[in-house]
Amino acid sequence: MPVGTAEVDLLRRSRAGDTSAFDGLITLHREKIYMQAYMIVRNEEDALDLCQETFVKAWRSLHRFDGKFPLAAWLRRIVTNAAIDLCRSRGRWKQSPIDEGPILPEAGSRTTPSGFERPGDGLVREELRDRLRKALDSLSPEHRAAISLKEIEGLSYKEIAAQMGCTTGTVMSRLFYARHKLQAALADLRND
Amino acid sequence: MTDRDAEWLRWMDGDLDSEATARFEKTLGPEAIAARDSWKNARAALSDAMRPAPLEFPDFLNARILETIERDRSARQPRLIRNLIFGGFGALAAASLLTLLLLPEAFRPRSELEFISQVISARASNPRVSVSTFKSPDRGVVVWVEGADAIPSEEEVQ
Repeated sequence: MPVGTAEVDLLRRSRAGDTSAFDGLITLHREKIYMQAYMIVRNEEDALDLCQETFVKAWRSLHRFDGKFPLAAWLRRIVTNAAIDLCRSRGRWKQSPIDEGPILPEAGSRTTPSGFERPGDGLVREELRDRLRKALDSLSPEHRAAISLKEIEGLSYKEIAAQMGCTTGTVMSRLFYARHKLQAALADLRND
Repeated sequence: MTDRDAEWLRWMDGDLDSEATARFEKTLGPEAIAARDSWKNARAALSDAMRPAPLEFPDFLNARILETIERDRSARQPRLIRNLIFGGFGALAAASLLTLLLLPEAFRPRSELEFISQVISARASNPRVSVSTFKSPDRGVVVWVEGADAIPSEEEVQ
């Protein structure tokens, strides 16, 4: 049975109260939902809790899911909002000054390292990842959500706006600042 | 965010058409273009930095979720029954109250004035003739005669 058909069948049975069918839906989507939660909260334990919360919420609201969007997008929206709420309630991140001013690079400026591209340079790659992790941790949850939906999920600005319940302009603004923040975190690496 | 910032973002994402790309790149130095290319390479590292390790015990997650759902369900069951009972009693009380308020009104004797008209007598000595009379408080008395060609002048309404 193709995945789409299987999902429709599982969804129909889940709506009728069949928890074994819902178990199948969890299995289909758990990895993506967990990943989306993790990319925002940056913590495995919280990501697992959010994943659980998302599926329980989805179970309770299955009757309201109208099928206009794919189930995956609906679940992703639930987990994104829950993860942002969690971060906000804990005040986990510190807003960076880079989020406040115009930072479009001037002609001749360099904001991204070029040295890390050298093949086989494992140390530089590890340093790069480490810096990116730190830079990601310093972003607000909304910026992290936008970056993950764009860079990892490959969604368009419009799709991200639908997922996050905001305008395309807001999404672009978040991406713009988040990307600059990440590029700035890598800036001096190119000089090493 | 300015329009130029938005254009820069679209340029970085390769969302501009070739003409707009060429026009925008004229405003940038070669370093900015190199920075974009470097960013493309950094994306792989970004993906690595963002992604968690795969779930260690994915089926355990399913079990946790289903257990919560079951607990939620069993907690809702008594609540549902209690709500139904309270709902039923509530509806019954409301119906009783309405009956108490509305029934006396329905059975209250009404005065003559409340009717539009009232039959006061209907009698004719000739069986082919039928007579109906109505009394209306504001319009006087109406005599309805059927089967008679004319009313004799000596007759009068009593």
